Amino acid sequence: MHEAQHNVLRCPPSLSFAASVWVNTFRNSLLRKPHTGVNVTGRSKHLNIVDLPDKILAKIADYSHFYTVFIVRQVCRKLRHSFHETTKESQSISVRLFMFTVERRKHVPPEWYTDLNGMYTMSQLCALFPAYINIKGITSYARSLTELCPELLPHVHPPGLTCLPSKWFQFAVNLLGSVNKQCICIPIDGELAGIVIYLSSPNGISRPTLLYPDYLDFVIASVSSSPNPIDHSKL
Amino acid sequence: MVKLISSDGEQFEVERNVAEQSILIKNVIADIGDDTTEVPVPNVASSVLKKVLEWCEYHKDDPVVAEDEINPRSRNIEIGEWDTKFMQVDQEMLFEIILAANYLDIRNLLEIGCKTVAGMIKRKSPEELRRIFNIPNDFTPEEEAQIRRENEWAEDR
Repeated sequence: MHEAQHNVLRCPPSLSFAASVWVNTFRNSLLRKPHTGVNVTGRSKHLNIVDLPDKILAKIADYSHFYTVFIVRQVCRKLRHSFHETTKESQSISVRLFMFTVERRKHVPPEWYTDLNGMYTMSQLCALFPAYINIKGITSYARSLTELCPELLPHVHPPGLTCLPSKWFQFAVNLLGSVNKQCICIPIDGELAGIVIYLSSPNGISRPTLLYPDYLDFVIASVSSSPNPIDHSKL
Repeated sequence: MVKLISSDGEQFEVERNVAEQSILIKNVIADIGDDTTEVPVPNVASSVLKKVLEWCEYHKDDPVVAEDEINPRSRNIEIGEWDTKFMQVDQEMLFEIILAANYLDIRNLLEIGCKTVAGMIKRKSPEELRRIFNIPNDFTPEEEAQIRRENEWAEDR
């Protein structure tokens, strides 16, 4: 579309130099949305972040961690709209990813999980969020979130939320009985926020689980030192 | 050499490869031929254009990338030291630079500007953001209640 407009509006060679400059400048102005809040001199009084066009706010949102986006949406109507509308898709996916990471052990409404519906495989998520997801170990088989859910759901949303980390840990430790481990690390804002471990049980069924950062040092050590047995005295 | 004329009439004479960091100006020059010497930039004031040209001068030998060539992985790349210092301006100038970069289609500068703002909003509460950017809370009580409900899961309990 942009290219088509460009060609259609290209200046005819018969125009004088000055006219062509202005026509081209005008043409290019037309091809861009006007800058809200900027007057004809290009300077505005009290130009603010909320005066930036949605396209730019979308870029800023794109460079922001989804949790930051989540916070920014609480600031004012304009940012709520811009950061929501422009990042709806990534937000919806990444907020859910957030649920699988462990930054906060808090109440999570079940609807965040029940509408996951496994639309994305982990490999798709990795493609969508290369900044957030690094595959450290390997998943030659891509697991869909649907597959993750049945394992995670009862442990993520227990009635007694304060003991969530230890429940998680117990859950993970039980699974870590198998040494055939594969893992996906989930860094957020450059920090390791969670780790999904795929474990193959003796019956061949791979069971994904996710561990909280409190125990990551231990888990990473365990994974990297595989197949050494886990030291249960550290639990 | 190319002469750029800001919205307030100031003239800036720069090398062509400096000016052509801007895709907009590059297209204008391409459209009107090599003998171009003057290009008006009616949407950018002299103070902003001067700053933008400073950036273009420093980055004149950098390849100009198309928007679809910007690697999403670059989100993880730190802003260089020179660019970090360059972006240490007051908020209004920062937003003006971003708007100018958008208008002039200087993609790398736009990316760096957006990254800089993203850094400013990182790890701040809504109240802090309102204070930093001088944004009034314009939510109605009903909207605030709705937001509280939506955000309940993230609150400390």
